[in-house]
Amino acid sequence: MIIENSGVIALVDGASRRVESVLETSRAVAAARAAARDFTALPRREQSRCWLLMTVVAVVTYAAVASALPPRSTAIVPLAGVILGAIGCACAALPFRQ
Amino acid sequence: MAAGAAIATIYALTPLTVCVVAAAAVVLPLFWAGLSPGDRRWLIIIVCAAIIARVLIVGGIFLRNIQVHDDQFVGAASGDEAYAMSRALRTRDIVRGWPTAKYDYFIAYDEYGRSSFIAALTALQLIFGPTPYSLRLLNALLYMCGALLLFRVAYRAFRRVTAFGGLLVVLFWPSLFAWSISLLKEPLYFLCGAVAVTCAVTIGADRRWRVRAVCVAATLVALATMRDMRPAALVLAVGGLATGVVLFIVTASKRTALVAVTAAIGAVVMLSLVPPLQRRVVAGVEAAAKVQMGHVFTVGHAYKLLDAGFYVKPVTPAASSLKLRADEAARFVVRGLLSFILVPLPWQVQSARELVYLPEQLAWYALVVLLPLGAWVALGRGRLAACMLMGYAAPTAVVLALTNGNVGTLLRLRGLVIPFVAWLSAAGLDALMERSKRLVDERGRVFGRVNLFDATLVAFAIALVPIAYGTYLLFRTPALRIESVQRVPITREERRVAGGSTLTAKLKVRGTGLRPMLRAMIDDAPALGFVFEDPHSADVLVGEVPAGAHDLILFDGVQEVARARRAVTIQSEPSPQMLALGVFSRLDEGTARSISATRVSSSLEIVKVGPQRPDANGRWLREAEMRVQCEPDAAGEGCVVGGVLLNAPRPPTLQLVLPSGQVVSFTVNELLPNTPAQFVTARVRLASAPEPLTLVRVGDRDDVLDERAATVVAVGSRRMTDVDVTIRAGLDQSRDGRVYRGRAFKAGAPFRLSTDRYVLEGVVLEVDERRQDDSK
Repeated sequence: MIIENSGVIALVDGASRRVESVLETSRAVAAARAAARDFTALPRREQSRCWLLMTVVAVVTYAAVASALPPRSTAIVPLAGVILGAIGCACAALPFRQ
Repeated sequence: MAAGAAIATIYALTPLTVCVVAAAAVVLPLFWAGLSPGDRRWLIIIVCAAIIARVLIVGGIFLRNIQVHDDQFVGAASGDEAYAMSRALRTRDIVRGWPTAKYDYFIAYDEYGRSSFIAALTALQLIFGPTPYSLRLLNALLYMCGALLLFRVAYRAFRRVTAFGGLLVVLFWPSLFAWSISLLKEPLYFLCGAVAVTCAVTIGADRRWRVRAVCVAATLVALATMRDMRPAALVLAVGGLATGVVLFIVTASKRTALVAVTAAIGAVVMLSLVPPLQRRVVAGVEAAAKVQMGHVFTVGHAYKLLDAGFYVKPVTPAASSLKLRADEAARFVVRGLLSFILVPLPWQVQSARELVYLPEQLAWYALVVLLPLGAWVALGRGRLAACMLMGYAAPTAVVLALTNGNVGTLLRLRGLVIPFVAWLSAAGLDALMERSKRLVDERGRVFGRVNLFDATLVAFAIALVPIAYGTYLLFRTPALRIESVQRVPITREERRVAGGSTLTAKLKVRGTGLRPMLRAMIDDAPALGFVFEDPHSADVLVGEVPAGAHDLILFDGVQEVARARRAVTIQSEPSPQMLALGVFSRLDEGTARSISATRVSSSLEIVKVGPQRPDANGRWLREAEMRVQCEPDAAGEGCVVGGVLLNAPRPPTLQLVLPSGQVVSFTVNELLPNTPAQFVTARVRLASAPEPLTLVRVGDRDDVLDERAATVVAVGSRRMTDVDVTIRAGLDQSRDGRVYRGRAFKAGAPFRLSTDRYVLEGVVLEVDERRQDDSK
């Protein structure tokens, strides 16, 4: 009762609701949501293929970008590439888990 | 494809950040699964606020360092962070085969600081490159996972208000917040502890064996990870879990609680009645006290738990031979436990950083005040969770309380306990608000005006903080300030107390806040003593210090507390040399024979020795003349060598080490100036009974080894009661005219001729004023 009627809590609640409404009315967020909705509307296999394609592009681009950087300031590129690939593959498996 | 390229670019720049974000996206939603929509919303708000605050701070650190970034590493906010990161990067250079130095190998394979955190840090640097900022994000994620694990425990056991209150404390407590985004091991250590507690509660509450097996495995992994992250970390963690289990058993019923209380009283009685048991306990306390003393003698703001006299000499724990009586040990334990709660009291704050910490210290007091009620309420709501939280924190708190002596370290390490007791204190606040319903209306307002929760926050911000600052201003230890340093005469007592050490000067220090247990240094040289008189006055006895102007520095332990710049001036003019005439005594025959004219030390040289003679005790004597270099003596008391005043009325004795290594005593009977004597002839009338007068012959020599010795060169007319003789003697110039062996030598002055056959008194009749330069 005390907490629910606290002015500080009401202040935080009001601020969070404003942030939520800002996010809900944002066009960029709406576009992202629409894209996500469209993506999840795809068949699972299609979703998985998209993930894998994005992963391949990401790994190849990463290898290209990383090779342009000084070796002492970058990761071990093959190992980091494998990790990025693993994350992508995990994402590719998500549609089937859902 | 564009998304893939964007991710790849970000990944190339900061690969670990991408991994942390992916991990957070998978892990964090697990913590709000199963909550009611309202609670889920609030949890997401709190977690998002915690993440945003941390990301902003890490981003701020990045922007602040942006001008000094290179391909290696910047961004460490403390020495520990810099050490951990540089060690990991040195290891990375070695493993990758890049150019290294011998020092890199030394650091990389050093036993000091080796822990599972360093291993993990090294692995991350090896794989992902220098990652000072994304590692902060990873640490933040680990810390938040620990906090959310305990949130779920509290949510199930103690109700939602307590869980959310505890979570707010753990996520936004200022020092814990700073920890959570550091490059240090603390977040991982906290996560391991949270896993252990969560698993222990789950094992007790969940009847499914599969879940229990997973929890046991997770606990073992957590314990294995944390085992080398702190000294005795495994003992503390396992001891904490065991304490929790014991508490759970003890609090099962009134009967078990009664048995436990009776057993505790019995243990205390046994401890006081059985000496061997008492000795073992005191030995354990002594070990803790040695570590605590070591902390006191570190740079920083120290606090003392033993009686003040134990902190006079800085000593390391390994070299300490500390022995405590039972009452001293008991006082140490009581002070230690109180200090864990109270230090630093608002008026003990010494630095700006501690002053900034003061509001958090007040909040800590609030947590402590709420803790007993919270623990009681939590035991009623979720006994197992309450016992495990209390039990896990207790051993760590006790060890920290008894081994710590530095305020900064205590504040940092108290953070090991706060995340576990915060939930209990939050339960106390929850219960307090629930029980205060009589005071508040249906909208939670006190006197129909202010919401109680808001009033508490406002009271804390408006009332308590100024009160604390007020008490700090009122009761703080007065700052030690040196107002004047003045050179004063050294007393004979201080010469004696110097115990053979060179005592160059005595300084009278006047100022404010002087304390008995201070140490004084003259630049890098420790003073012989700091003699406290009152808070405004003290003496400093200065030992051997090179000539020149020096700073006088006062230390409390190893902490510099005051400095008077160039306040001590040691003159560079050489101190005088003297000839000391005396006798080596209590010698064996071989040693007596071996003494010869030689340099004994930088300040002592034997210039002449007489024949060796046996004494009455069957030992041997040998007279000698020594040239001595007197020590600087601003007081003008005379010649001091090795702290011994040679002009003393009682014949002083010097302890010397001969070149052969033997230690011998030399009693100084007479001092002469080390300047060329002026030789004169003089007529002297010696008076006595007739018989001794007949013994006087030409060639008789005064019984002194020095060349100044008066020698009879002619014997004149003899009468019944006197005889006139002509002597040749070496005189020294003094303020009062010429002197022979320290006595005035002029017509009419008394004269004494002492040989090995007679002693005669007389008077100088006439001095030949023609100077005789030939000393022979």
